[in-house]
Amino acid sequence: MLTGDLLRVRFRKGRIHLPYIDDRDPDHLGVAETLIRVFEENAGGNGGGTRQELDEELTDTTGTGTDFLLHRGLAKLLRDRCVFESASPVDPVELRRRIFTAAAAAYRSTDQVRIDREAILADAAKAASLDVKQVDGTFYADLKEAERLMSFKSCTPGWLLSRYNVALVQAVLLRASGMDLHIEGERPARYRDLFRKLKFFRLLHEIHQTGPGSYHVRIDGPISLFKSSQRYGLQIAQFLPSVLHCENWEITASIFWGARRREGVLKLSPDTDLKPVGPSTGQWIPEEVLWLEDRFSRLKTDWRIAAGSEVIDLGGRGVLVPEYVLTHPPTGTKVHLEFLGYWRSEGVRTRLELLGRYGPPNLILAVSAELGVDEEVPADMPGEVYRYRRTPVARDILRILEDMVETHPYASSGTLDLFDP
Amino acid sequence: MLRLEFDRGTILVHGDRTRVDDLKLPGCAYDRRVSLYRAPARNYREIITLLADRDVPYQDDARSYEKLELAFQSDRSPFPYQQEAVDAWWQAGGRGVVVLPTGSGKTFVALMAMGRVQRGTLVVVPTIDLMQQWYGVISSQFDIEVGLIGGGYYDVEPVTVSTYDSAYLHMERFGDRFGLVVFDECHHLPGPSYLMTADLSLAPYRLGLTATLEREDGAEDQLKVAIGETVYRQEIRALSGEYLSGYETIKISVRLSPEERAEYQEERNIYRAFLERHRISLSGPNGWVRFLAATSRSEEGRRAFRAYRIQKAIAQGSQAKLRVLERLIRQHRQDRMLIFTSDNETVYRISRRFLIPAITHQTKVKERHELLAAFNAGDYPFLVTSRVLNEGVDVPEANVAVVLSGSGSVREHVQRLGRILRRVEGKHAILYELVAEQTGEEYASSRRRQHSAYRKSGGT
Repeated sequence: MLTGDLLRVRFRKGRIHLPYIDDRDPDHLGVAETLIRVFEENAGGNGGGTRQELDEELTDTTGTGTDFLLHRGLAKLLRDRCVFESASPVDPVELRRRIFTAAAAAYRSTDQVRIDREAILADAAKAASLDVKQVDGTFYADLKEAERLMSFKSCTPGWLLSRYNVALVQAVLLRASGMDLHIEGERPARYRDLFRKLKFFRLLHEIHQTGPGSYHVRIDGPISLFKSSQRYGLQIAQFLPSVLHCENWEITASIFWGARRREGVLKLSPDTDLKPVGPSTGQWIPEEVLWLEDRFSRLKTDWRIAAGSEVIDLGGRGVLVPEYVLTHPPTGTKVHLEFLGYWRSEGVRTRLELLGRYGPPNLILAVSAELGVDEEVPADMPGEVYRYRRTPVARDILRILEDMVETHPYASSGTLDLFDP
Repeated sequence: MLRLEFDRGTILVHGDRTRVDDLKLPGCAYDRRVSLYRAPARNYREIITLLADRDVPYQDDARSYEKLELAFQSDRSPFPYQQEAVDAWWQAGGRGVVVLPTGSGKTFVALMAMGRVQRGTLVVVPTIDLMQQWYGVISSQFDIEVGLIGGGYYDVEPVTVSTYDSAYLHMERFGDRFGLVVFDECHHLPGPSYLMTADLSLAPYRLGLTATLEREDGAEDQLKVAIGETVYRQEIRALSGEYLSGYETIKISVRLSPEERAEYQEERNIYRAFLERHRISLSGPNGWVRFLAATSRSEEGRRAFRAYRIQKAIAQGSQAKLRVLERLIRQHRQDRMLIFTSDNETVYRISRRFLIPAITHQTKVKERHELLAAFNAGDYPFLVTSRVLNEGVDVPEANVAVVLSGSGSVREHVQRLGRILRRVEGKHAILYELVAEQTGEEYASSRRRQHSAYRKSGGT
């Protein structure tokens, strides 16, 4: 990540403006390529350059021109991809112990006015089978600036420039007291991934539905209730890359910047042109679940199946984003279909408990026998539970739907959230 | 029935909303995100006190610290002022700050407090050295396994030592596991980040220890909320002689060589001219921040910044100073002398030139231990360091300190003086302060000597 001294933030009418760069600009690409080459050439096992040598070469390369903040920023991002280690022919600690002990003895013997520095170093060199010149180099070979570049994870110039733009935003989000995310029209797997990431980074969310399939999510942490705190800035910055995989979103974050903690608002959207810099995760859905849509739509019925896009809050502790939504136009009935836990990271038991307490009544929860959690499904689970063996069967789901419409106490009264108006 | 839960550094109150509404629990606010009342964990003690006062039954799932049976392994008896300090703290309800000079045995006061409270305890310290030191003292005094958090460790035990940095990062994970939190060198706590550490812990018992409560920004009021009132205070001069070593401070003025003087003046002119052109006063509000911002904006600015650094380096590490240092080394070769500088580069220059062991923040824990032990044992007569030994670390045998360069901070100076004041029979401590004549150092020196500890002896 970029540190605060590596970017200059501009304020205009309370808004924060960042010096984003064009990641196709030939000049920038050239600089990126040069920097990457410096790192590649300095890396290389024991023959690798020291931190100090690398820094000096980088200073020569980046110069002190007007773009030097950008250049130093790019170098910082590349430095984060390096492994440095100290390497020396003998243990410097051992060598120093020998030298200091000899020197201490010399100081204490009062017959000398001044200690014989050269003689002490020569003795130490001899004992360690080094020549005297090497002693000087090894004396403090374990200091940070003397460490050698052991390996460097290279990248393309284009990727580095895209990464730089994201890093600018992250550096500012570190000072965020919270973040508002507006998002709409994503696939369930994407929503689930987002909220799973929020949980992973130990953030709290508050969801407001602002329209069909569109949401406002307020993101901060437990203590934010009492005081505006930058305590969660790091987590918010780490969460950002997950949003960049989405299509339709907008972020507003209030920032307190610099030593004077000047307040400003940072706004981001797909127009900011931030490119995803990490892999897209959590998008895998088993085939049998994917195929259900196709099989269900071949049935002779008035029920319609479509991919879900609703986010249902489960008491602030998680969300339910049903995979499918089933609608029945003649009666206006709507039922959610959710598959339990084919993603692994979430404890199935906690999930069942949450659904039992906060799940909506118009839900069919499909549970595969392979999960082996039959006994743990609460008896008073809202909605219906559908147990299946290997593959969910479209016809079985239709039967449950028909039962629900017939027996559900709300179905005939035309009230509650069972129905779309 | 109400139920209290610890959630990431806060207390959640489960139960019927209108019932909780009526109780008006201290620090609580309604959190719509989870549809429950929530309070910073710091308010835990007030909440359960109120519930108990009103006979409201509740289930406490918040605290998860244990009752301990800590027993001293040695029968070392406390000095009277240590006993008074712990008594005053306990009288104040087991919350508050104790101010005692460096070297007077603050650690022992904390151990006595732990013996009183007998609950899971977290000790928060500013540096890795201090973490190691507390670890050693607690494990040997109570003969228990002690946890460590920070410096590469993450091991939580009923009694644990952590750095301020790690406590800030992780308190929301273990703020429920300690009934007593000891904030060592607690003048570090004020400030938006570290202060949060005190909010995220539910510990009903809190002890702050410091030798120097006065912060330049006057933020000690925040400590009242985070830890408690100042419950006990002893000044360095009251303890000098009887409990601390007698001492004198000697100021040595050093004249720059003609070449150094010329270069100093040249660089100083460059940066002073830049300040004037940009109308920046370094001592004015935000002066330093404005200087940094201005110098990063142009080639001329970067040159001015380099000039600033060069002239400062000349004043702080002049050849003339090193010659005086050499004389002091010769003079005190039978003593135990600490040499302080303000930058690591000078530390290593002195280490290489005089073949004297050095300790900086880069020195690894093992070697640091070895060097300190060898210094205390008398194997090494000298040790050179920058700022890492300013605080806390025990070097009881040290009787001479040389401040080669330093900031104008009163606290830094008192702490450095404190390093050599641990009482040892027959010890008389000397602190030398080397000041380059006619440079910015004279001003820094006069600022730091404004502490009462300096008023009893003059310079030469």
